[in-house]
Amino acid sequence: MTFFHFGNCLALAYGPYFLTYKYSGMTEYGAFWKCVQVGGMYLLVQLCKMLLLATFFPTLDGPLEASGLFTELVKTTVDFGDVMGMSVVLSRVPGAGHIKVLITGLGWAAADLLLTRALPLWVGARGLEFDWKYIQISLDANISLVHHLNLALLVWLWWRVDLAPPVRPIAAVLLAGCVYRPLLPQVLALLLGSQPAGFTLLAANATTTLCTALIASHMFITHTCG
Amino acid sequence: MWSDQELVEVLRSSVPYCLVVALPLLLLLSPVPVDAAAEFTVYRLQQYDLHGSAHGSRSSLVNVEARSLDAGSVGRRCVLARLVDLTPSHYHRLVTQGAAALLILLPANITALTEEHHMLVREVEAAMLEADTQMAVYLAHETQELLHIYESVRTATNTDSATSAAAALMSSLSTDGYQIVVGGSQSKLVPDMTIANIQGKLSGYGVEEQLPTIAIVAHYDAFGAAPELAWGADSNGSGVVVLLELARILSRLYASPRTHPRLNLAFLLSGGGYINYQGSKRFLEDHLDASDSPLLSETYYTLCLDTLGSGDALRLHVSKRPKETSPGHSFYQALEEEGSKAGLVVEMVHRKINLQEDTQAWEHEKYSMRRLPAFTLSRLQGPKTGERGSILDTRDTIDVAALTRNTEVVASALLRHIYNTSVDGIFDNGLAVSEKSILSWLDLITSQPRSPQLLSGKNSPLVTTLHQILSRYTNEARITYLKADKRDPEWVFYDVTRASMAAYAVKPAAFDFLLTLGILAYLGVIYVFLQYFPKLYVMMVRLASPHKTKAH
Repeated sequence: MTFFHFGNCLALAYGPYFLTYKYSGMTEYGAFWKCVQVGGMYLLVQLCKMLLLATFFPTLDGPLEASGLFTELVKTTVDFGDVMGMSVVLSRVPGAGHIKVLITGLGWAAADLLLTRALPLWVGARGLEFDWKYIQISLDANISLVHHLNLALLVWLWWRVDLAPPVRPIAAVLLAGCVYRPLLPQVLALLLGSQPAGFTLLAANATTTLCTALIASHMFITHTCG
Repeated sequence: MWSDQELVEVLRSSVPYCLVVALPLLLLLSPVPVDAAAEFTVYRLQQYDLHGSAHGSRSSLVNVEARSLDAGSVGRRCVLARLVDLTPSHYHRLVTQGAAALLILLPANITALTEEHHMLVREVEAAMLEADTQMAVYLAHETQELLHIYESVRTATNTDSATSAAAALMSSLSTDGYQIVVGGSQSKLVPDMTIANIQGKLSGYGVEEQLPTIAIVAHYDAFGAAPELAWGADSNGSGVVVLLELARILSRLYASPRTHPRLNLAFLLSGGGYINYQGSKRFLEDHLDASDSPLLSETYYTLCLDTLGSGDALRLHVSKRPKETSPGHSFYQALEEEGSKAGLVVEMVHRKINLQEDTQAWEHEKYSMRRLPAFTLSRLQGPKTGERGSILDTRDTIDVAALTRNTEVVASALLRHIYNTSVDGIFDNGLAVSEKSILSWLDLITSQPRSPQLLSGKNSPLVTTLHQILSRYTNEARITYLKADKRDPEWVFYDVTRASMAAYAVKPAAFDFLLTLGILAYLGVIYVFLQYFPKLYVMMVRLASPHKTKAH
């Protein structure tokens, strides 16, 4: 709409990232440079994922509606690359458990934000036309931050040798749930009969992500205090 | 490798400065994206000068917010109005309040309006064309998209009068405002505009110079609020149709030695009929003032055809009643007889030429002023009924049966006068007026809008086709192009007859401010959450601990 509106969207999208970095104790560890390195890893992983997708699903530019839930499922499976990338990063970042998780999650999410959401905001939110879409993108960026922290936490938990055996399957399920999160609108469409859009979809995303986050943090607490 | 403190320090100190330079540069370099909510074709109001006075809309650029007609203040806004809601007083109010633009929505089926609406539309058209205004005026056909915008603007306008600022702000959250944009360049003079006269003649039997002449004239241009909507099917498409049909029939009679009359016929399709009959004026200058042209040296009369497309009456408009013995009178008598046979009302309407006025009302007045006997044949009672030169005058208003019958009456009256006998017998073997050819002429003449500026230039397809038709039926058919005087032009037209209008959904500035407050509050909540996270963490640990002891 105006440059002011673009500023608003930017503040909404990047503010939480900045606050998280500033006030979660990461500054004391000089973690900025490490976050950048994690971002580099993110880039590498995305490149590999793209290569895989291009190799095995070459007709991505077909009509979107034609692709069924199953093909989407197979395509989303490639996102386990993210899990692997995070595993590598987690094993190489030094520091205490929660700092490791924070650096990995935040770095990953920030790189994701920069690469997937900055451009649409830059191109769209400054235009004359007003659309709620850009506010939604910005809010979605916030959900994505929680999601990536979540993912990092679950991956970290998964690689703990001393993780309590009954918790392990729960962690696996949550991990899979996190990876297959992009399928949420399609699954909801199957369940409800119509695909949610806009703020409804955002709310659905936020709810599932926050629930997962609560369970994961509970698992983390029980593990570290145990 | 993992902790390169120096590099971090360098980055940290230099990045802000880089940003200070790079961000403004990026802002300057990147174009503002222009995806519109809706884009549609709009037709601009006429813009022309005639006899030194300006008419129509002076402006073609728009970049303002939309308002509806009942908005309290319309200054520097674009007003959206439906054609049926608009009245001349509305229009004058918009002009005096300084509205930046007006967009008029035309109903999908414009001929289906009631007669009262037709009257109103004609009045509005007259009001718009009477004087000039700085306001940019556009017309557009109603579409679903456009109606949606119109409705949403109307609801938004109603909130202007909301009880409190808070209520207005709340409603602005749910409804969209619209920014109306027409880009391009400001309208300017049509360069080297020409108006074409197409003429042809049929020479009588004998020495051509010594024979009298009957001239048949119809102006072929059309007019209306918007040039692109000036289809002019009745005025003066019907006149052209009758003239072409007469040329077709008469050319056959002139070709046969048995029916070759001792009379010359001149056909003129004149241009610029709506700008004070410039075509006829030029035609008269060419043939009366130039001594070498004998065409009009001895004329019986000049018959101007104007608006004959429907109705049950034919009116012969004269500025001076023809004498009992004159050929004009005998043509009128022939017309009366043929008209009564076909069940038509035929009457003579006398109207003196008002020499005080700059413009002539009927085309024949141009000829009468040069002391040539002339009259206009029309179905209308007077020249200023508003039916001539309106955007309502479309192909659908033409009653083809009535037009055919009118043509028949005119043709037989003319032949009756020429041959001085009843002509019932000779309307055989393809000489009769046929509805088929009437239809084909009508299709041709209504194939494009015919406002003068749209027919300018030497390559206008319509003018070329009309010329080809006249050359088929008459001799020495030719086109003469007239131009306005360079230093003191009598008429001037401006371009940008159609444009692409974009409507962007926008929110008021107060909305952005509200959004900022909301975002700040949200960030504040996150800040507080992060600040208290350690405490929250301890609480969660406490909550989890008894659970854990139970589990183990």
